[in-house]
Amino acid sequence: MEEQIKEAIALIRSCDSQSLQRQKSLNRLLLLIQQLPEIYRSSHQDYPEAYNRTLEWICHNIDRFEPSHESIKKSLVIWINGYLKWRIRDLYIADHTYDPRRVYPQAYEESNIDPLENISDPRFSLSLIDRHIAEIQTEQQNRLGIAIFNYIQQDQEQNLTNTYPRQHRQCNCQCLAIRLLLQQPPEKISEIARELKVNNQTLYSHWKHKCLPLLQSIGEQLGGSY
Amino acid sequence: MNHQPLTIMLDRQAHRYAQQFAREQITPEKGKQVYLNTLVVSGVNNYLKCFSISTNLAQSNCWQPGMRAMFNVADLMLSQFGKLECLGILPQQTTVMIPPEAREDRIGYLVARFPEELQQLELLGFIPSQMVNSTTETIELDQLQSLDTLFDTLESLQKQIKLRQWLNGVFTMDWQPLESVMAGRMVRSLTEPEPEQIAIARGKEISWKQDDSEQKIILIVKITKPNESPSEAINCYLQLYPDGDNQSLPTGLTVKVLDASKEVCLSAIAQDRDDWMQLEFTCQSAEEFTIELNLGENFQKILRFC
Repeated sequence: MEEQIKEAIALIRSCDSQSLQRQKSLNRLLLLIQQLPEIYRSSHQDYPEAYNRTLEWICHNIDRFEPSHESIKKSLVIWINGYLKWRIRDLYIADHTYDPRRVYPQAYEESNIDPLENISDPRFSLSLIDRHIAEIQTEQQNRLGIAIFNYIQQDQEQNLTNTYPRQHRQCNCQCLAIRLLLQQPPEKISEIARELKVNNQTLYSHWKHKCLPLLQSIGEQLGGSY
Repeated sequence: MNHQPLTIMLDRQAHRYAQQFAREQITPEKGKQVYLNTLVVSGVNNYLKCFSISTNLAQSNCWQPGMRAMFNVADLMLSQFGKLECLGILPQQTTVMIPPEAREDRIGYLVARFPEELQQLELLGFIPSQMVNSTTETIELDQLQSLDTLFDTLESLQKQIKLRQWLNGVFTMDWQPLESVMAGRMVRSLTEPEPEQIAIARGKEISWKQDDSEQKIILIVKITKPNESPSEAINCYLQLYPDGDNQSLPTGLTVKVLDASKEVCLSAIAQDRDDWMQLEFTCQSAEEFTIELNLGENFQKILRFC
């Protein structure tokens, strides 16, 4: 790890800013940094933002990094944590939860233990997200998704139903929009082509050149009022 | 896939947008699609900030209410390059689905995996646009290329010759006015310029080493566009000439025009004593094409245009 970090930093410094090699080396450095368990962690709900800002800061300032210890790895951890802890302090101050009596992390402290009180984090997990989304959707009666669904289903001006490849009326844009977009999970173009006995490429090309522009303009028109 | 994934964190702002966008959708399923698309685009957007790659969410379809409600889109507009599709997959998925609305007009696909807790995202790898065509429904995870390929792709796009900028008088140094690149020699013209047309031509010298001596040819690209036409189509004329010291083009010199899917659309071969060659075609808005020059094993040159 020590060697890998040294090599990545040396490579970054030897490259022109914005060069391809520099971008690849920065990416390599980010991959190494995420493997350092000493990087400061916090369960504050805004820690992800502080962490992302820190990664951005590292990439823009790595040329200014100077090892303070014999170990480049240790120096890098101290350098990164120094910045990250200040970002976390900012979060508490922005939250108006800054307490002058509380002991805040020192910028150059080497410990990775969060001395701050953990704020419970109502993050979503994949298994709970459907329920959460269903709840927030019920709160909003007038939804754009419903307007789009109804527009396609009703197709009052029959623009969608009347647009189909020659001799394949069954492949009209309304039918495709329902099967490829409204239906969840959507069907595959190849399955529809097989079922409707149309060449796959013909169907895709019709979808792309005829249906998508029509649907885009419907989307823009209906979406404009939301 | 042997590439080490890179973890990026999903901040509160990303979740705020995701909730706001999912709320507008018709069903929880569609809402979840939009929620996850928003998270993956926000995450990739943050990742790209590290490399000073500028993005424009306002020009991304997934940030347009009507577009995200209509289509399955997770596109991120990279200001200088075009759209990068960000494909999120669930923990157990081993294939990546590419929606039909995202199979064209993309510079490539960045694939990311969501863990059970949506606090972070693992960037798994990149799919170059050449691996995707209109019938590509899924791609196996083991076909993913490393994140480095994204940077390679951006670099090759940066080297693209942007013909539409020529219409605004913007040229790179290597494309010279005809008077200087042809050093006073005549340039042939098969088509007379029409009065209502904008016509711009520039040329560059192309050289290579062959049998210890330097070979040179001159490539001229002329574009024309009807003056007041609303269409973005332009006509392109490619001409090849020998350089000033030679009477004819090297015999066997091949020029090919390839479209975005790398299909050869046009080609020509220099015959004995040919002193020029021309290919002519029409190019639609934002259409990319490649010119490939070839002389057996001695020389190959690829120029990308858009």
